[in-house]
Amino acid sequence: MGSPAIRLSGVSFSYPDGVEALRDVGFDVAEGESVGIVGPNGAGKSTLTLLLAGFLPPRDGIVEVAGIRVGRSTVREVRRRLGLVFEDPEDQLFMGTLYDDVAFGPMNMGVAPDRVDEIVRGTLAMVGLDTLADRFPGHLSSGQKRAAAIAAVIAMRPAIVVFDEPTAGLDPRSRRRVIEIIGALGGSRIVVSHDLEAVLDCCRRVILLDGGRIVADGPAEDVLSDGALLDAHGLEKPHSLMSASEHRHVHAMRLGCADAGAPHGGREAAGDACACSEAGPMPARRRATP
Amino acid sequence: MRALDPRAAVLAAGAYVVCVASFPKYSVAALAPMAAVPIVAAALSGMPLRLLFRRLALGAPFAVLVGIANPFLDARPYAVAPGVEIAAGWISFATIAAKFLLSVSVLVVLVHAVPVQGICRALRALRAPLVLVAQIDLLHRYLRVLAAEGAAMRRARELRGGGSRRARGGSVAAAMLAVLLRRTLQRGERVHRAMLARGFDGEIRLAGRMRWRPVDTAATVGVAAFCAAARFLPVVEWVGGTALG
Repeated sequence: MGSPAIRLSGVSFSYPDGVEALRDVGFDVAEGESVGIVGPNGAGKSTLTLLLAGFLPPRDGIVEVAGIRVGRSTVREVRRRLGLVFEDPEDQLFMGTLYDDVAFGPMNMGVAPDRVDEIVRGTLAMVGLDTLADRFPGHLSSGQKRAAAIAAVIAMRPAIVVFDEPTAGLDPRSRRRVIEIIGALGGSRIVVSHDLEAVLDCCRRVILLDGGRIVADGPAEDVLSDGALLDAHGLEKPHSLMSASEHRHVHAMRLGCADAGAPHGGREAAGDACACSEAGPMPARRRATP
Repeated sequence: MRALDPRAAVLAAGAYVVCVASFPKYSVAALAPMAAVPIVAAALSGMPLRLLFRRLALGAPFAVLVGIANPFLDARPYAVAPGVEIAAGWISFATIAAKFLLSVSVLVVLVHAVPVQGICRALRALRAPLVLVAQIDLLHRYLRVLAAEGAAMRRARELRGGGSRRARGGSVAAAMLAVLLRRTLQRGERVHRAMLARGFDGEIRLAGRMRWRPVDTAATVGVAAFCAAARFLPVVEWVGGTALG
């Protein structure tokens, strides 16, 4: 059996100011696997992405990408195999035209110019931006910028793509489009996000980080349907996994109903429903299978 | 000018700047024909002259600063206008200012007509040192980041400070400047990380090939020939003689 796409073993990391961002983190990601990394703010998620791409060196432990141990001498090789889509697309789009931005990675990899043209046009078509190739990236909409940032990374054909908050700040249609793009990608994918619905749509497995430690690792539906676990770590169960009574409870909370004080599942366990429950059960949502 | 190969535009601009710089220091009148090049180039590239002059106005204080000492250091009489004796220092000051403004104007038009990345690519193709080209390219990117951050902070100040004097005061401006620099540096670091993540090794490569066509040769040779004529032939005297009959 070959080496996993990603292997972390006993990884710890502290920032120079002493803040310990990761503590003894270890997990494997198999080739072709899609993994969501979720957790509250300050859990260490973004630090983890920077470690994977070799921007930060672990204080302890080993990070391997495609069988290569991430280190100063291997970082270029690692970045050929692992693409990182940053949280803010403005950071990722820095060329004068969208075409040049998407071509940036392949050109640096030494791909022949004719082939680069083919790759760029194909990638832009894949994310639905083929008609905007000559536009200045700064003038795109937020959703288009996000799609462009993804295109800029996947044009390098990395075996592994890491997405840092890929749906943050998007309207529902753009968000759905980004989820579809991520779902359509081959290879291994790591989606770091607070958007648990998106993670549920894109990933089969979820790792929950809090305080720099892994607190849960398992099938996405199992981890994300554990309301008590998510509550304890500052997250909310995705709507699509909520029972009808949980929906009613959330609805009541939003309306400020006095009956809604019970924690998730409390009323359900008592076989009762919140009095403020005109909303009824939410329809089951269509899931995009990764 | 936009249709030119960036190498042609850079070569023509380079020839122009070298030619302007080579004029003797008391030949301010002889520089007059050289003004035709930036004006024609601006017209051809669709740059309004008002915009060109606004850009030049930003550089004008530097032109003054460079030559302002000349009238005091070189006070010997050089020319006599009706009733007034003009010191050589004033003539050389005017020449320096004219050279500065002409050179800057052609570069302003170049940057307006050709994207900075195209200019950098042309410079690399013309064997300019990588360090220099990377500096120009990254400086341009940094300025864009700085401008975006600055605009966002200004909006925030306007929204919360209205037009109050305190919001526009020196201490607020100093604090904003410090925060602006810090934020810009952080943003610059993130952009640099994004570049590294996509294989950046110090050289910015652009896709697509540059194509040198006959029009590029014609433009480069045309500008070089005009500059040489203005520099070595008594164009001003001819024009003056013709005008005076």
